[in-house]
Amino acid sequence: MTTIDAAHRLPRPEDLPPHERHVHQPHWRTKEAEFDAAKFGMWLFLATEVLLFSGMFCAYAVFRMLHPDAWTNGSHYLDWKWGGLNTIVLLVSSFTMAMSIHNAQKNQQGWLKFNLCFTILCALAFVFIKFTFEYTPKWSGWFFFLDPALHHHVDSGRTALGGLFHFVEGYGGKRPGSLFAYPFAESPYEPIWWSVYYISTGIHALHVLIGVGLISWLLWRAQRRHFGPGHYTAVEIVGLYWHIVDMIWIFLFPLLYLIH
Amino acid sequence: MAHAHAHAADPADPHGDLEGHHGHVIIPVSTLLGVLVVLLFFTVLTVAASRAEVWIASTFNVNIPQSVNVGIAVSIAVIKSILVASFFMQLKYDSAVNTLVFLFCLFAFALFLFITMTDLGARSVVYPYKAGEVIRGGTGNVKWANQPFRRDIKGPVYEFAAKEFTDRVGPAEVAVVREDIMGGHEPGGHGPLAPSTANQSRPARGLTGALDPVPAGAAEPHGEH
Repeated sequence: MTTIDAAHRLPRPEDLPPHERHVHQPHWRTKEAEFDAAKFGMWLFLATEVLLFSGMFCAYAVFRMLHPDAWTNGSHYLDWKWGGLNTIVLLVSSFTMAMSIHNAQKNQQGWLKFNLCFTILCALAFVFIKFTFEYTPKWSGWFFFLDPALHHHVDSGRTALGGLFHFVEGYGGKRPGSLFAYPFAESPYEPIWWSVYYISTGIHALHVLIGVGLISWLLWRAQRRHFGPGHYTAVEIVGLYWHIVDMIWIFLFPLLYLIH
Repeated sequence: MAHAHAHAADPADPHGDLEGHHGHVIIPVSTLLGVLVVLLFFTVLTVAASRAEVWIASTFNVNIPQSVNVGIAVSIAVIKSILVASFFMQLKYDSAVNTLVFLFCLFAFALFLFITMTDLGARSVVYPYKAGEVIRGGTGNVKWANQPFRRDIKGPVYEFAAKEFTDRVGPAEVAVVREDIMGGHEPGGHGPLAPSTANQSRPARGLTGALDPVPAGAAEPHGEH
């Protein structure tokens, strides 16, 4: 048996947590060069993301300029309280995402996992609010039974999914383009407003769902101690993605919900 | 740790090439928390500004131009974005090349928007009749009749929707539902629309009138006006 006291022996590489074992790829001079290149690559991708949404913002500007009344009428169907709540949810999730990078840098493994979990929960809450209280009633007229707006309307008595959803006659049909079926349109151009609304918030919501997947992947890796002071590239670049999703919502919220 | 900044007296690396110049900044929790608080404050501010505009418009019976609404909303959003980019996305502490990429992208976006808006805004400069060439009625045009869905739409889609609804529930029921959906509640929010009043800045132009109450005996309840 060995005569060296285990306490005085240098740890074997396989005993170290993965983030301390991380070695940069051989084509990089240093770990920092590798990190900076990954981050730069992510910024290039984010530039294409901004350009993707720029098309929608441009469509927004064109049709708002052509049909301001449709925008005013259309925006009145949206509730700034749901939009504002979702803004707060996303801002807090951006904070917890930034905190998780801080935690990785300081090797606070427990807090790292907590903040990643919290970010995922915020993202899911955002999508839940969006679909349950905004998309579903407007598209189809079916209200979630806890929706406060349900009590402002005459309940038709029809329910679905064991009473989870209640139908309000005449409310639904606020759909994009030729799918438009809302009978009380105040402006002839409302279908265009709904097209811009659904495509911009829909692609944003898709980005939030992709973010859920990416942050879940971070959590899976954090569980295996892949991230620490020596290596946290993935946390940082997924964080960048998450912040750009937040930043786009910062513009969508006032431009869609706060028009009058 | 690997990100120590002790590259001053390393004979093998006198210029610090192997250490990484900007290194990794650990942003203090207090800074991140402060940014979050400011962001939440600006969110409240942008909602308050919008509500204030509605209040001013209805109290003093003035029509605030849309440019004011857009200007305030976008200005606050830009301030919030700068905060997110600088601190949460760490551009303040980062290599300047990342900021450059982002700014160049925003420049491309601005150019894109500027040229489109210039075109749209200047169409009537030479030939005035070109100003309003988009036809009334939105997307429910005849050419959409060849779509596999909603192939029965022959006119404006909002008229089609109103007619379809009337055919389904009957004219008597339309009045009841209309009162529920349209009447009596405060404007904005998830709820129904309130009709325009003398003190309310809701624009009257462009109303379809597709389901306006009609005198008894009128055959066509969804005509244009």
